[in-house]
Amino acid sequence: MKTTLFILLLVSSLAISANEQAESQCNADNLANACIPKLASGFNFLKSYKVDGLAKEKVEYSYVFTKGTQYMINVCSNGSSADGIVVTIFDKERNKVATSKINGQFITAIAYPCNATGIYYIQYTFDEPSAHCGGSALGFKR
Amino acid sequence: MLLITTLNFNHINHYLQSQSRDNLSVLLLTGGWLEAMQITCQTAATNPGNKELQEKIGEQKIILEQILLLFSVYQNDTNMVGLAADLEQLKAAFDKININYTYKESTMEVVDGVAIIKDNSTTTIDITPQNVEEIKNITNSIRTKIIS
Repeated sequence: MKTTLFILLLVSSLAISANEQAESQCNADNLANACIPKLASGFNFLKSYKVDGLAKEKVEYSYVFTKGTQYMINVCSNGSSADGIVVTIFDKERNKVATSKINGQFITAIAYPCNATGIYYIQYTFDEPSAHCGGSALGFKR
Repeated sequence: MLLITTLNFNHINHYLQSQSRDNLSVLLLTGGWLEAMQITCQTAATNPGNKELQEKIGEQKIILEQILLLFSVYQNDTNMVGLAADLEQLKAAFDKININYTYKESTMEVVDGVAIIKDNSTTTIDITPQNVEEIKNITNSIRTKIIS
């Protein structure tokens, strides 16, 4: 009985340790940098974002978008798809203006021609199954 | 060029933050913004009929609000307080400008794997040449104070 309990404890510890190790392995910096050259042709790089959602349900940044400028936001994961990462843009009043999940389909890039200058919130959420780890890049063209 | 500039600023910002000198990042950012404002205001003054340029200046009201938000973190920093007061004076001039926002739900379609958004919201910016003149004068005076 004692042996069984010891093995169970040992396995649990190993499992927790492995899980912690996996959690600390989100290299969002690298994924964010890898996203920069994936911006569509004609778009100038503005900013890259780390999407490290291992410890939180959502990751959010803000940016001032200006009228007459077209923005592109892309999402990168360890694979070629968006891996369940959804990027949604909200205006200053928290109205949804754009999302990368359309009809249940995960899109890896959003092109947003801004018509109203103001602060916008770029929010990343995770649809299961997802590694909750990725990167993103924001570009613009006029 | 923009990529190099942005990445450089990010590196500088990370370094200054790690050295607990993040106030310098804010000053760097503010200095760049003031310089750009000065150039834009001078250009607008020589092209008084250019409405787009005037609106571009008016839009900076939003940026200035964000800069002042950053300055509010350094209320106990004597090096920052003076500039914050000058920026408050600039804010008073910007407060005369109205930015009217109307939200209308956007529409989307997927083209070649990219979600193309049609933004139906609008903003209008109420700004006069007199507003531009006042902003230009205050910007110039802040800039002169910094460089002298």
